[in-house]
Amino acid sequence: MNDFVNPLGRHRPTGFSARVANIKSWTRTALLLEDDVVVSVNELACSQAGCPPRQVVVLMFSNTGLARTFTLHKALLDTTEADIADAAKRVEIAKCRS
Amino acid sequence: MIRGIFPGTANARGRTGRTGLSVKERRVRPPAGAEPTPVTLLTGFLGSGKTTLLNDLLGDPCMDGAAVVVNEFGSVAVDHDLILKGEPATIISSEGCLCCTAAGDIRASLFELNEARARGEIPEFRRVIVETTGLADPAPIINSLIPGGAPPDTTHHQIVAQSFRLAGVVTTIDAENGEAAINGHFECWKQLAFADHIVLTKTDIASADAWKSILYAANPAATIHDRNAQGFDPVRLFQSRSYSPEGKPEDVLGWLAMERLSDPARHDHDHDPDRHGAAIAALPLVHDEPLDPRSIDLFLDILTSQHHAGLLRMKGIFALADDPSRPLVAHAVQQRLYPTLRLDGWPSDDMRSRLMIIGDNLPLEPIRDLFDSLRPRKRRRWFART
Repeated sequence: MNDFVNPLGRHRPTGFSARVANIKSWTRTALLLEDDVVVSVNELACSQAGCPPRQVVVLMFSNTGLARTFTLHKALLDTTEADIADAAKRVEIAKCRS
Repeated sequence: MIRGIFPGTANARGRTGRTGLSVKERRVRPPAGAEPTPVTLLTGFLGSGKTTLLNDLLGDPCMDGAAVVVNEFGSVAVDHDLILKGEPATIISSEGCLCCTAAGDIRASLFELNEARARGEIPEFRRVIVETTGLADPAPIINSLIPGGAPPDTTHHQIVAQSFRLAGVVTTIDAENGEAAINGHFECWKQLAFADHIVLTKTDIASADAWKSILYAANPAATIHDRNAQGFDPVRLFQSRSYSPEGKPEDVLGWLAMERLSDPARHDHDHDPDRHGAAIAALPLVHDEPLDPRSIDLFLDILTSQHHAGLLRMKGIFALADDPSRPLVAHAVQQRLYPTLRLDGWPSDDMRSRLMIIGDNLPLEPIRDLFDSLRPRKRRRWFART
């Protein structure tokens, strides 16, 4: 890999790997997930009017087939622990209502 | 040599989709007990060396009997003309990104290939290689080709499910520019995670050392190959197996599950037909007349020297005024313009200058204007009034 860093190059975000690991960890903590629950994180484009261009989708599933999902309308690298905590609250509320 | 530009397929019409055949003609089911044809997905980010690997592969006699589906992002086909080497192979091109059409187009392309084979319009093939666009999210493509994935909800899909099986996923990653791709594009990360084999390319111009840990982190189950290592044999990567997401990183199972759970009618639209967002754009440019070689050099220099222009990939083939029968091939990855190549002849009947530029927030109009300015000007004569 090149060590050279182009000082004129456009800023590129770094750290998908680390941020995905963070989001998984924050989700586990916020929803008190068991170890056998798999948390998967995805970033997809969104071309709907009025939405940010990227969205994060988090899916939780286990061998028992239980699957829950929530979406954050922001880019993966901009996602914070507070965002995940808010989304987890919505998931819990929805679970209680169902 | 390129063959297989046959009626009713992508090359002839410019798009996959309707073949104009009767329903009876369309339903070509494989005979009972026939083995499904193995399909290998060749993916990798823009400029990572997919087409170069494919060229090497098709040059090997072991790959006789291969059909290739080349998927191009954008409306001007350039890639299929740049697959130059090899014994006759059936090559079809599929425009639009396969991952963006919610699993429809890969099955449409394979269905058309199967039908053309059954009608004897193309040579018999024993395997299929699908080269995706560099921006492709592999999840919806793989989900549409594996058992238990996207349900075959039409007769065409059922025929494809019976006639083809996914044999493997090969991903290329560029040792020189790959770091920016991994850090800037989640699709690149997914391409690595789904792979059976990861091929590290351009290790002749950039060191491979730092890459091993990065690639292992992305996919510990994949076999990693150095494209320039002695003894590297691309044919081995395309041996017929059966692809399985088992044993891959846990995210792979999650991404496939998301494909199955997604509902395009919901507002969370995680099955958005355009997966790359409005910022990623492909700019096709065409000139009918041969161009001045010096102006092409200047154009390529300007295009690749603008660090703020958001260029991700450029591929082009140009007719030059000094010898229009010998086209010039040029390509660039981000700001790196690779040495141009003058071919001995045109690879297809289309002898126009064609260029496909893919970028992130590209300044479309200035680039289009610049390319338009290359058009040869008619000489004007000025007469002095007497």
